[in-house]
Amino acid sequence: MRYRYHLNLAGGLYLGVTLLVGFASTVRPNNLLVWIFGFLLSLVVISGLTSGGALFRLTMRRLDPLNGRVDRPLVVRYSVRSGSRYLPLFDVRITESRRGADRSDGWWTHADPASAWVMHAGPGEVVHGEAVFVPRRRGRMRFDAFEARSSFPFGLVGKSVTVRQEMETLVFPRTFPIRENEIDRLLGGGVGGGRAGSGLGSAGEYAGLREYRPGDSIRSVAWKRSRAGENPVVIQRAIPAPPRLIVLLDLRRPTDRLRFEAGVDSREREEAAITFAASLAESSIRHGVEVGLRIAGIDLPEIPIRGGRRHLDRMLAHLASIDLDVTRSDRSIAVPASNVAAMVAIHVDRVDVAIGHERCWHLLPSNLEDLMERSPGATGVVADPDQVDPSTGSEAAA
Amino acid sequence: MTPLARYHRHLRIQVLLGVAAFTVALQQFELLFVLGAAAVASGYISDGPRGRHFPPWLINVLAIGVFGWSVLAFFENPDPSTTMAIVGRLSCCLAVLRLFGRRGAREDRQAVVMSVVAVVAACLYSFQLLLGAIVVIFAIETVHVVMLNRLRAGLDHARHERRDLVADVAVPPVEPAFGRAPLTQFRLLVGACVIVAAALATGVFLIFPRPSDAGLVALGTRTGFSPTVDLTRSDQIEQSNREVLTVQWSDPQGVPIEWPQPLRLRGAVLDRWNASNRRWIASETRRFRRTVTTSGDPDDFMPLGVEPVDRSLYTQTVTMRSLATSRVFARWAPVAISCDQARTFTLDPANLEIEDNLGGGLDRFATYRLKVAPNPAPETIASIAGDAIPPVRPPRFDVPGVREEALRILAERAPELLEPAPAGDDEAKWRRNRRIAEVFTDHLRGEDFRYALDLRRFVQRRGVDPIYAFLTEYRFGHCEFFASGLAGLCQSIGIECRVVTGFVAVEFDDRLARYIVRESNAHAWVEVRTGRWSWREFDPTNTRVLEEMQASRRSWADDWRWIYDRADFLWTSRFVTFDGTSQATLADRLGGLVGGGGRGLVERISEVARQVNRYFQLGPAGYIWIGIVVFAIGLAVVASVRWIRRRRLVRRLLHASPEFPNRRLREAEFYLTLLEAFSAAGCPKPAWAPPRAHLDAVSSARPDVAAAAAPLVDLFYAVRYGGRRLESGERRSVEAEADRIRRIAEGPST
Repeated sequence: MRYRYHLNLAGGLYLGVTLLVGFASTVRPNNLLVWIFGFLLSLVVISGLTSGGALFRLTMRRLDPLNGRVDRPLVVRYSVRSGSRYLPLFDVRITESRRGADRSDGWWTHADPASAWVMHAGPGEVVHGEAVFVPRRRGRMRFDAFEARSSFPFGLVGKSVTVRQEMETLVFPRTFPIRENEIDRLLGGGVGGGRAGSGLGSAGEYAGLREYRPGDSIRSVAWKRSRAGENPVVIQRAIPAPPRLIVLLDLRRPTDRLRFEAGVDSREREEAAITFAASLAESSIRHGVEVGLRIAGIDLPEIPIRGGRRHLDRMLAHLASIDLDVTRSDRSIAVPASNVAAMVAIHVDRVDVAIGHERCWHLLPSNLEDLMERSPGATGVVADPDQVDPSTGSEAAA
Repeated sequence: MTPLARYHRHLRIQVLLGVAAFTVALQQFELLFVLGAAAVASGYISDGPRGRHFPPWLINVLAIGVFGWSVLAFFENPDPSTTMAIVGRLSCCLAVLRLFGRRGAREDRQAVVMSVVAVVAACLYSFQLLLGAIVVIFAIETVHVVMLNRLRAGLDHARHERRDLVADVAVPPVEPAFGRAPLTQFRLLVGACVIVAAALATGVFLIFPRPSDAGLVALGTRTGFSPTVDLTRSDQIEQSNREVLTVQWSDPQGVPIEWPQPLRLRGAVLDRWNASNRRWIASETRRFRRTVTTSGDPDDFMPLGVEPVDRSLYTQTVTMRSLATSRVFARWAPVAISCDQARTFTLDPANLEIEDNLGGGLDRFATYRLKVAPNPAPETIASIAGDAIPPVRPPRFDVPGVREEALRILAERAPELLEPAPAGDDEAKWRRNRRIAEVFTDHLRGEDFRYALDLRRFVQRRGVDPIYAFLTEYRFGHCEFFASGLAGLCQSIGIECRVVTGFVAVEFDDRLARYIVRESNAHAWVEVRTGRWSWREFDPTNTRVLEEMQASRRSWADDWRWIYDRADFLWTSRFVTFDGTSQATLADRLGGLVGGGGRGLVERISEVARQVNRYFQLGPAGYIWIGIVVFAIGLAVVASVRWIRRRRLVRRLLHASPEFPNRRLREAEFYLTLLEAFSAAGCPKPAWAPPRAHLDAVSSARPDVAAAAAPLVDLFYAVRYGGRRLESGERRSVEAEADRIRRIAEGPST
């Protein structure tokens, strides 16, 4: 912990007024002025005693924040405990220390903070304050130290306590909602549909009977159909299988080897590609599609095809943790057959049809605007995969 | 409820107090009416549910207008002494104006600063008790408001930061985080800050370096008696009915009587007009001064002259009530003095001025007595004055135009007096002097002159002497102007005279057989030399007008003024006139207390008791009464503290909110006794344990106590949570039962 005093303009003005009153009470023999002068002086003493006594005894902790998302509020909570036995704590502003602002991660240039404010904490009480950050960049957001500052009770001198507590959280990429019909088109009629499940459980529609196998639930046995002395039969149920989609993010080409027109920031386009992948994954899962994620060029594990919110968080965390500064590899990735799942490959600067299966969609970051919901200029035009022109390097969809 | 819930109301009260302090100090009650009404209206207009605010441009235009008006007011009368009054008035207007605008914590701070400036300006112009009370309340309220303002600033800052955030979805609004009972703790903190600040301020007040005569200088600017005559002020003087002293006038047989004429009590004698600073001053006759020390026995008169005290003289007994001054007010001519305290008085034999300038002022309810010869023989005066009588020589009065005015008056009213008295005929000269003084007095009492306390139209101009302006141009003013006019006219044509300030006692209380002397009885008149040893009083102020004015100002409220007067006396004697001498006295007393190892403290308490006894005239049995009263007060304090602590304990025990009625608390109080019983049984109840669960714990250690207490615990649940009410009889029986259980618990385990 580090304690500091901060002089401010109000305190200087107050001292100036106090000295003026003191001068006036010296010049004019007026005891009322003398008393006021004494009162003003004593407030300076009380200010130091009160705020110092309360603020310098507090203990603070930053609570583990949830993952954030680019351009969305990230709430960070702080636990403040007033350590004084008698003095309550009032008007404490908690801000993240920016002493690491010039460090290489440069997080504070990519996040807008709003400090937490604790109005009151009684002696020995624990109060939680909430700060809000709006991250402007995907990745690992690092917290270093935070500072509690107060100039209560009279605003004459500011006092601050700095607590060092390193912590980090993931900031997911920004996502845009994609229209449902566009997702349907990307799925190409739907790979999936009703599939016979393994027969476990009692959910789903009736599909038929089969012989009991070790491991089947006893509840799935069709006792009326089973004959004595023979192997029991179990009810086989059909589990509705949603459509499946694999999002393939192509980051094989290093940033400096990307080719764009002059004035286009390559790193921005890569981030846009990540955003596109995250948007596609989120919108698909929201529409009931099972989604898997492959990232080509970065040494990250594959995300299997699953559905659900937790799976989405896993994918977003995966995308958030992509470090674009690492060395890219040109290692080929395993691509499932076209009847297993639909596939959308997102490239950064140009399409490479060598990646993905034969019915794979190849898109560029600029296509996101065409697919987004409530986009005024959206035409809904997505190139048919049968009309792929492998030679083109433009930003049109291939 | 958070402390900020009533922030705006407190801010409004603070501004109102600032305006009140300023208007009380400068007696501008029309300003209080206008600005006070505006401040109250702002609570409905700007801080009300609809929240209508003046647009910023209108606020700015009005502020510029008020500022321009103040600048014009200054240039109309560019007197530096009125500058702070103008600044204070401007601050009041701006503070109230600020209440009507849309404002955040910063704008509120501006209003606070404006009101503080107004109060500081007020303190420069007055030190009356009412202002002191307002200033103290203002200081408390300012501490409260400034602390609230810090909270408001913190909230505003947090809100602005949140508002500035741009995000895809809505940013959550600021929800102030606070712990338990923020309002109570805030109030306690404010109270503690105020108490500590007041204590420290008093400490600074006591040790602040001051000149020794600061108290008298402070009194000199006060409405009422003043040891100087200052004709530079052109403001409105408010009549004050404060009782300052009482006078008993006894004939040689010791019978209190009412004197046929108004009793003029001389306080200060001023014989020289200083035209440069426009004040009457006293000639320095320090080398003739003598000191007289009284023994402390009121009947032990110490002669002021060499002659033995003649017991056949009149006796004047003065009891100080609310005026702290070192001057002794005596009817002409004092011959001997006694006091109920051992004091040393200084006598100026040239003009028979008596002063207690060695002991620090007659400010402790002092009573002094004087033997007075209303028509003293020359031998008596010669005995007192000795060589100090000023030689007969024409005075100097250098104000141009006054001599011409005097000659014009004489030519008009008594042309025969223009001729000088025959040389060598002293008797004719004294007779002529007396006659001329009478002519001038008649002139000033004429229809052309008017008595007035409102001097705002009496414009003081540079290069124009106020006495000349009074005599020839304005012809209105209060008694000091009339006395100055008469003295100026007389001195301009070579007649020796002097201005005397003091009191004129006219209100005789038959029941008390005493004169009641109030501040409004402060007066100034002239003594004209009418012989080598004699001076004659001339009062150019029309006393009939004075009496009518005082009679018209009497109201039923004056019957209760003694309460205010006591407080005002303490305020004046202990606060306003606290100066270097008082500091030295206080240091001596403290040194005595510390050095005496408690003996001094006992003596001090005895002295206070003696003074109180004497003040209430309780007699020898008074000490018993004082002891009984002190004991009763102590008992009441202890009982109150115990009652408050018990009530708070019950409230905490029941988790009752502040709105929970007290009578319900009283019905559940028996459980406290039960808890004491559990403690006595060796099973104190932890705070977390419910009553029944704790009873189970008690039953394992003291089954007899638990068995007896079980019905009462059930009853406690019924009262606290079941809404059951206990009648008074039932409550008493339950409390008796709880007492019985406590006795069981205190006994051995069975």
